[in-house]
Formats: sequence, structure tokens, C-alpha cells
Amino acid sequence: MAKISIYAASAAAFTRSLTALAAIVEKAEADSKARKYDFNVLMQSRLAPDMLTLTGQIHLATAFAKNTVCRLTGQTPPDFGDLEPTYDAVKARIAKTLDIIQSISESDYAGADTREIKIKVGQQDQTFTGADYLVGFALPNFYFHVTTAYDILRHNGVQIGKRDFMGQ
Amino acid sequence: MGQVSIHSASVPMFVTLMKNLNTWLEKAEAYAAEKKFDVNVLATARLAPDMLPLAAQVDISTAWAKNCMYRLAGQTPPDYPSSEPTIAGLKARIARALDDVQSIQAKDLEGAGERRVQFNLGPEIKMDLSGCEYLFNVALPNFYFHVTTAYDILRHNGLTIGKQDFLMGAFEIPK
Repeated sequence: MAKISIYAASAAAFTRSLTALAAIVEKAEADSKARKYDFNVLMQSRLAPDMLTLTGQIHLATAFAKNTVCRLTGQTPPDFGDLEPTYDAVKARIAKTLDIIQSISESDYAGADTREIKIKVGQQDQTFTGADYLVGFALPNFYFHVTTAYDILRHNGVQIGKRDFMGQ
Repeated sequence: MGQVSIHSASVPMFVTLMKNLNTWLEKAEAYAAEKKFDVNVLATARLAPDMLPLAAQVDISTAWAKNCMYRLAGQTPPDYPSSEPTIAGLKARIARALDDVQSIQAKDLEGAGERRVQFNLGPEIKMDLSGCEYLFNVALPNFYFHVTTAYDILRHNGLTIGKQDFLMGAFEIPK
């Protein structure tokens, strides 16, 4: 059976994508200065009244990344608390998330594929193997929130493109 | 070392998300009938004037799924023409991609993690990656980007779907 490394599929992918997100947030801040509006307006923007704000999307994207690397390596994820809708808070949250990802070495992922992971999804208890948790839960949720953050900024006229999303 | 099989990291999620995408389009048809608007208006809806419309988001996400699986298996992906920008056309496209993605089986992916995958990204950039890098750094992020943007376009246009519709069926991933 062809196999791939859990580390490459999680830590490396999150690092790449969150680094791209940090650069996108910088471009959004520059846009707010160039077009003379309050950056915090972007942080509170949504695509629909019953969707989360940009702050909420970034909060969840970083939380999924942090929780995933901790759970895959048998650690209890630290609680990062609420995210303030400001440029400094968002930049700091992304940096803190990248730090925790980088603090876990590749060798700590030994056995991560079969590790039992128990979490609450909504109101329900779910038990996953590490591999199923990563592929069927963590990655789609992570990319959902990173993409929606990007879509909120594009919808508000921030000049970013697919290459910014991919970190190219 | 913790590892995951290439097949279980790719085919089940492409299939689950494309089936969910199809379900959102069916819900969009019911929504259009109820609100009395032409459902095909949604096929050309965008989040910004210089972003791609829903039809292109569906075309590109399904293309990533089928291209990814054929390339990982060392086969040439079939060419898909652009869809007609109608909800019926997009559903037909998803059905075809579901068939093609599911035609690739675990046994076709022997050595896929190390296989070199070469492809063009736009007219200028030639990519040459291992199968593992291609799947996790390129194919999955691109696939999720376009599926999520399709979802976001529908949500922005008032369709009542939620996060549970995005990941419906994902927790009972077939092995």
C-alpha cells in the first residue's frame, strides 16, 4: 500500500497555508491604508448575515491547525482564547499557531495514523483514528475557513489572487 | 513513522465533497423554485467581479479531483470541456468526475507517493513534484479552495446550507 507521512500531510501543509494567510492579512491591512478605511471593518465582514466574520474564520482556521498537530501527537491543545478583531491580534494568533506547529518535531508523529482521537463535533462525541481525523475532518475544516477568509477579502475588493492563497 | 495511505487520503474525500457539492446544487434548485427565480442565475454568480463564477468553481474543483487521481496513478487525465453554465450542466459534470475519480483504485496507486508528477500551472509554470507533495501541497488545497468558494457563492446568495452540509458523510469515510 502506498503510504505518505502524516507530518507532511499536516504540519507541513498547515505551515505553508498559514504563512500564506499571514501575507494575505498584511495585504489587506495595506489595502485599508491605501483606500483609507478602518481595517477592523474587514475583520467584521461576512459573506452572509448568518456566516462567521473574517475574525471568526481566522480564529477557526488557526484553531483547527493547532488542535490537529497537538492531537495527532498525543498532546492536549492549549486554549488560545478569543480572537480580538484587530490586525495585531490576528497577526499574533497566526504567528503563535505557526510556533506551536514548529515546536513539534517530525518524530513526534510516530504512530499518529492509528492514535485514537476523541472529540466533540457539535454536540456529538466522535472517535477517529489519527489518519481519518486528519483527512476526513481536520484538513477539510482547515481549508474551509482559510478559503472563506480569502473569499471575504476578495469580496471586499482586496487585491489578492490565487497565488497569494497558495503562497507562491 | 505515522503514515496514511494515498488512496484513503484522496479518493474518499474527493467523492464525499463532490457528492455534497451536487446536493447543494439540488438544494439550490429547490430554493429557486420556491423563490421563483431562474436557478441558472446562480451558475454565473460571483463573489467579486474579477473572481470566477460558480460554474467555473465547479469545473475547476472537479478537474483537480480527476486530474489528481489520474496523475497519481501515472495515467493521462481525460479532458473535460467547459460545462454549460447551467445547474443541470454542472450536475452532469460532477457525475462524470465522480465516475472517473472512483475508477482509480488503491492498487493503481502503488508507488504514487514517490512518483514524479509533472504538469503545467497556467501557461508558464512547469511543476515537477513527488506524488505526496502534489497531493497535499497542491491538489487538496486547490480542490478545497474551489469547493469552498462554490459553497460561499451559494451562501452569499441566500441558500440555506450550513457547515454540516459541507462535511456531510465525511465521518463515515469508506476505506
